[in-house]
Amino acid sequence: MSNINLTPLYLSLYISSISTIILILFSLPVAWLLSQTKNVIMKRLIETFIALPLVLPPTVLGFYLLIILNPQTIIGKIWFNLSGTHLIFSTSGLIVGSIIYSVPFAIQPIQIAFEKIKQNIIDQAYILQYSKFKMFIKIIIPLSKHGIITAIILTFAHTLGEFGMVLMIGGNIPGKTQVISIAIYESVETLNYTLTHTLSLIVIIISFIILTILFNINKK
Amino acid sequence: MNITGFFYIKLKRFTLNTTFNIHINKITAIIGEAGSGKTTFLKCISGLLKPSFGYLKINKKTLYDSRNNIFINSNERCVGHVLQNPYLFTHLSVLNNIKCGVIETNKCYITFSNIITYLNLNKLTNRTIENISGGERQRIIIAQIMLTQPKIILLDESFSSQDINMKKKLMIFFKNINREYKIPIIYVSHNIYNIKKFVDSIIFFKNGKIVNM
Repeated sequence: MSNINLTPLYLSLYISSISTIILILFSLPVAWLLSQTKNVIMKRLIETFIALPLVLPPTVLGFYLLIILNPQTIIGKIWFNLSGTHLIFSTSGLIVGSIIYSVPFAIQPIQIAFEKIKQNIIDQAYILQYSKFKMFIKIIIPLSKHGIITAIILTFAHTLGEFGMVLMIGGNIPGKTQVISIAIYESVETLNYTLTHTLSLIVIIISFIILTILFNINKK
Repeated sequence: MNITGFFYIKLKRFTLNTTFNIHINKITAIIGEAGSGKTTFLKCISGLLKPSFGYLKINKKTLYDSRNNIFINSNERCVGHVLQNPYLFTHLSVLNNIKCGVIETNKCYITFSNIITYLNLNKLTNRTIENISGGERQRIIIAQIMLTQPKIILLDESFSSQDINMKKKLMIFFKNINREYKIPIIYVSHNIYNIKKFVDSIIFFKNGKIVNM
């Protein structure tokens, strides 16, 4: 075990954590707006767009991200001016890709939880002279906590298991873009089955813990 | 206090289409059959519903005017609206639910300790929302709303789950609030019986209109 390099695991956990935090903060207002909008056509269009990563092969998503994030594009240039680094073949690029890749897993559970909130709850908060922001923080979020926790767990787990998209935009650079799924793939390629078994077992244990938490939350 | 206005709003079951000019220094009852538009009318006054067009002025202050695109949100109107089907926040205890209404202001005419004592809520404060009765729920809502120190009180069938003694106690409580602090009260009910001693004037509602004032 002492000979096994756990850097890919730490990198995966790091990318998953950062992506999940950013994605949940982004998803809370977006899911609220989607749950409250009365413009059905607009709502369906946005929902469909958000759900695209669910059906697209990760390699397709990775290919377009590779095009969008490369240093010759506006996004790539802006990022380079701000940070002095490139987005493709970097940890930052993987975080950006992971955020896009896991968007439906974050927004959908939260939106479903928000849609369950009845109008009389919102009315009661307004009558108690709550501002929209105060109502959102003190009433809506606590009442939707199951949906939010589900979103956190699903986003984290989904990001942890990504492979195709990572390979497309990150490649396989140890310590930088070699996440656990890529390290497992490489260990098989190099016939290092001890490493494959160890890393796979770690992924199974993490996945088992995540799913146990998820099922417990949903049964409450 | 004078409430003047015109509301037009088309809903699934009926259309609220009424002009009004109500002096409500005292306690005014709105009586009408179920589905006549009483609750919708109150929601338009408190700002929970926005009429399709019309206007609303309270003491010459415009709260809503469709022509000039004015709409003051319900959280800025200082209207204490005890809703017909109110909601208690299930993630909070009874005590914290009541505290949701507390507003820091210099013009407090209702204090926390007074209201929970008067409405017999002292023993309930540590309970969870799941373990309270319908009547208790209604009194918690009244306490919540009164702690916002409203300038107008709208009561929508707000004593319906109370026993006779508590109903009388609540009527005395609101009458005192009205007489002592000059807070106008509109009380909505579907029947006129038992409220004659409580109210000072009555408005009748029928098919989305005020039929007499």
